[in-house]
Amino acid sequence: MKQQYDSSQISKIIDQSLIYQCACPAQVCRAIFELRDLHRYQLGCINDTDNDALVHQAIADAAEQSHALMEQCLTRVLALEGWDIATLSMPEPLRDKQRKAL
Amino acid sequence: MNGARIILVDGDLHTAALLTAELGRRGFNAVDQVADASLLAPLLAAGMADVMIVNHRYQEEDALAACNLVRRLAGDCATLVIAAPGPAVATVREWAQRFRSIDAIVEKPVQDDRFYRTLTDLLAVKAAARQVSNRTARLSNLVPEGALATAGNTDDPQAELFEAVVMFTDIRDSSRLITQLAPREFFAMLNEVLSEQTSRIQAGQGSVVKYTGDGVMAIFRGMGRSYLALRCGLELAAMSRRQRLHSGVGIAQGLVLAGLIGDAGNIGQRRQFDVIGATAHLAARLCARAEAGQVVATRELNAVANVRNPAPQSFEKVSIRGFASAIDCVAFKPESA
Repeated sequence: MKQQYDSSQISKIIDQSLIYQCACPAQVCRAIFELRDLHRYQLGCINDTDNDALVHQAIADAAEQSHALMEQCLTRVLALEGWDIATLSMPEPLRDKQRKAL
Repeated sequence: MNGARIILVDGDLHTAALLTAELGRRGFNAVDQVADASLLAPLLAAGMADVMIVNHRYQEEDALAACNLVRRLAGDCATLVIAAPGPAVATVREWAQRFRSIDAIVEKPVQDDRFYRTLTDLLAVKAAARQVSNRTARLSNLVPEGALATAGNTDDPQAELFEAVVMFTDIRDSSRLITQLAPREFFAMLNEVLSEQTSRIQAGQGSVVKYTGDGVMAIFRGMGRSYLALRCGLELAAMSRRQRLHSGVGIAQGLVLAGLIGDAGNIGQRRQFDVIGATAHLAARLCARAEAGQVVATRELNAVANVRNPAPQSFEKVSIRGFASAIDCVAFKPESA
């Protein structure tokens, strides 16, 4: 599965979105991790019959496509919110918003 | 307002401030924040933390080491780790399984009430565990040594037969003293004597079975029990001679039966731990014959213990039901301690 963001980058985004305020990029990141898990699981599944192989391949393909879609979504969301793409740091206005929400 | 004392381990000032504010909003106001595990020791030494929350970051093992430190220094303190889903939470779960130092894990982002339900449940479980532990500690002062272990042994909680030395002490002339002293004064003196005797018995590797009103019943088990018991009895007798209430001591060795006496099947009925048998009966009888500040033991016991100082003195033979012939005894009268 092709990956635009590695585990460290995605975890960094989630770590900054600690609480529910401004956690939308983190929700996307969470979905990306789940799709990677799903894809990995399907590849490791036992194929007792030809039909099993088709089922697992169908799910793995869908997970891969969904994963690519969610990674694109993440890129777009980060750009819209003004994250620093090089360092993946949360923009100051969002951090202010988190503070004010509490 | 929740009185729980929380330590928050978070190296990022922004997220630490967010969590502290969020905890405060939920009524958790006693929060101490530290940047890393190296600053934990003084807080734990103060001994007053109920829970430690770690805001874990991906590949940050130092924060997890803090959980191990808490487990080592403050066993009563619960540990909760907040981690990102995916590989980070997998690492935390692996750590929890390996070191058993993490009580609960919550995934980021912290949303809805799940985090607070987990925190509240964790605090309730720890409070209940502390209550049970305190209760057991108090109970262990009230019931005989060995009784708690016997009650907790589900395999065979009924009885145990073993070789032991049994010791009885008894205050001489207590019936007269009770009539001469104010009840409170007599009880204060009695408790002082029994407390000192208990301390000496425990220091001599014996176990107090019960208080017999104005004396103590104790047993000694294992290697060297004859010597340890006789030396302890001599110390008690010597100590007795400088106390206002003087005791006699009786010691015998043989098979005893220990266990819970009473109906095992009915909760609510009275049960008590006791050590019984002919040896216990013999030791009680020897104690009854001993004068104040004197130890009476079987000659057979001293043949093993081989105490020569103070010198053993001949003592009358004691006839007891359950024994084929009269028992040869020796007496010791040590100098006062």
